[in-house]
Amino acid sequence: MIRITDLEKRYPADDRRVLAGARVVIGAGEIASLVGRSGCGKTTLLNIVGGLDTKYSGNVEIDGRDLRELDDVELAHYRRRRVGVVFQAYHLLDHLSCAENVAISALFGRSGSTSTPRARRRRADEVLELVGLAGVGDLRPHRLSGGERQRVAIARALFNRPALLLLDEPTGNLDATTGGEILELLGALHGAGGLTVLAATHDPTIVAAGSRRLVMTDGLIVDDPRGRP
Amino acid sequence: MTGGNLARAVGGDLRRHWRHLVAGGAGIALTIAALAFFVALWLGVRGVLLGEVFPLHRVEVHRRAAELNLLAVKLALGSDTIGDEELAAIGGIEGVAAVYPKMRLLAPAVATGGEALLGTAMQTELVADGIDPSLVADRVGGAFHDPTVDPRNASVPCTGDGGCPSGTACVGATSFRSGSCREPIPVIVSEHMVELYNGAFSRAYRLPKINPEALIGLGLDVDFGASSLRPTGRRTVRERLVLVGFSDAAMPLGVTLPLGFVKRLNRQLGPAGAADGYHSAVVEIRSADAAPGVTAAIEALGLEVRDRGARRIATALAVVLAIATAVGAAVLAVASLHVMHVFALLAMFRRREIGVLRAVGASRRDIRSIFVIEAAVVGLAAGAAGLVCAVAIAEVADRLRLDRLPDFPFAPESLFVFPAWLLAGALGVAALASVLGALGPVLRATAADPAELVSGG
Ligand SMILES: Nc1ncnc2c1ncn2[C@@H]1O[C@H](COP(=O)(O)OP(=O)(O)O)[C@@H](O)[C@H]1O
Ligand SMILES: [Mg+2]
Repeated sequence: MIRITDLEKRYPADDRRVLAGARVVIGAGEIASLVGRSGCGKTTLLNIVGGLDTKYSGNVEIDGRDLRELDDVELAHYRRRRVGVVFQAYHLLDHLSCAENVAISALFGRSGSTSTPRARRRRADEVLELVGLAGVGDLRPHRLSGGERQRVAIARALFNRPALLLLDEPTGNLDATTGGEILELLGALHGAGGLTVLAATHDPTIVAAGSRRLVMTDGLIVDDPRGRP
Repeated sequence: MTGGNLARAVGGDLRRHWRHLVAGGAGIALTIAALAFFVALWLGVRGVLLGEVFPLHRVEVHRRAAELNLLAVKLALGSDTIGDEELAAIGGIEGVAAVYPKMRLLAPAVATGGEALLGTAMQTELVADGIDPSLVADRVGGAFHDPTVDPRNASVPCTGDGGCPSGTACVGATSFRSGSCREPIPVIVSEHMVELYNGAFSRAYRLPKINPEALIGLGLDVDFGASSLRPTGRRTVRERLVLVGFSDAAMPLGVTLPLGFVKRLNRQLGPAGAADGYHSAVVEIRSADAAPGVTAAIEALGLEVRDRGARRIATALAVVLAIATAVGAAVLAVASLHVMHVFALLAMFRRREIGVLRAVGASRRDIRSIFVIEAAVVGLAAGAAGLVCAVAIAEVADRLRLDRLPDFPFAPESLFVFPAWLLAGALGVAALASVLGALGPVLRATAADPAELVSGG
């Protein structure tokens, strides 16, 4: 469960409040879409919820634990084990193979079940297969199409079986068919276990596939009842 | 982050960025090469200068002369000897390893002998002093000791050497009374005496040159208390002396005897109080570096140290080292700035990568560990490369010197000394400079949140 209260964010460059006291509660297992015009602060909100941005005021509680109370190591653990983030620009590392990209988080912390290189590779191949990319493990990401790269990024986000998946414009850079495949994948993942999804998007098909529609305006989050089934 | 994963991450980065890292490390390698080369040269030259040209580990201490010059005669004011308490005080100074007193023979002596060497017997006034046998034990060995106190030499009456067991001589026999058999008194002389003899004396007197080794075992009869210059009217003691070795601890012109023997002669034959004080003492200093401090402490006792030249050399060497160290440190600081620059560039190039790693679960400490270990590896590799260069250049320099330059006295095989501490120290300094250079950019890169790093902000 995500509980956001009085969230405010101001970038140092200008003193406009990108987030101006936003509040929302997203229950476990929900698929929430976050819509709003470009520049309204969707990415900013995902960064804060994903533990990638610590410079805000207000509170973000994940399963009852305030992110602000976590020290750097605990926050790193949160990013590694609890949340998967898929960036709009994917941010894959081109000097690593797809499998290495997918398993990169296992380098950090005490990685438990994926502590050996072989176990890591097995898990990486498993999630690549899950996103429909069996066999690309040894390729470099730049050899893949945009949609495939998107899915490698999703595979990386799913590597540690997170409870929360954050997606930034997951279909924004893709054509309609590829977008549809991604959507199907998300549906399958959600069906498989109580994954909570928060996706910033313009894409009406994603909005329609979700269980809830959140609208960002003027730095606030408004629940759009049309999003409720 | 586990050690294995850290090593894996560092290894991958080093392979990927080796070009940049070589560029960054080159400055350090050059600096370490220059530093190690000059320190090794300094150590080598210092070793030769202090060890052989101006030995500083042993200095001779005298009472500071307080005297009055009256025309041709100097009047000594007060005692000019060193007492037992002063010896003890010197021995207690920090850095002093041992104190060996010396005593001049204060009775006249006439030596007769030399037939074996010169063909004809010579008679000469003899100047002698006595030293503590342990001072020359390493050079001359046990042969130099005071036989008159050896209980094995029980008196055997005799009238000539023929009546004595081998290895002993008949001492004290006159036409009127018999003497006693005793081991001869061992003598050491300075190598300079032989050089002097071979260089000038043998030519002037048309005598054959002598090989110092052949002189060992040469005997000499000495009448202590007698003089060929004027009759002393005192009683004399005849002793048989035998040369047992050479040492630069021996007096430059004269013979050097065991201290106890000289002390006894002074008591028997010398003026009153002749056996009460020592005329000088050789002070052994633990290391050349302790010499200035020891000298100061000795001077505070009202005594003086004679080897001023050596002290000046030691001071000059210390100044040269200080200057070289300052220059080296400045160069190293510049090299470290260079590393800082390279790591700043790398950290900038890798901002997004650092952001991605943080985003997928690397803590700040993980990232810092990776960069610091990379910097240390670069520093160590650069330091090792620098050391290899330094040793190679030193080798070439030695070879050129041996081939091209004339031999000079005390010239060693190599002018360079690379002790283990220098190698280890150079590696440590190289790693430290690299890590310090990398630290700033790395701390700056890890201060930001992952969101700022991946967005290029
Ligand atoms: N690093 C940054 N520095 C300054 N301003 C930023 C930064 N990132 C985003 N912004 C500004 O914050 C606002 C919200 O950005 P963002 O969250 O990316 O919006 P969205 O994802 O909804 O398009 C925009 O006006 C953008 O210009
Ligand atoms: Mg955005």
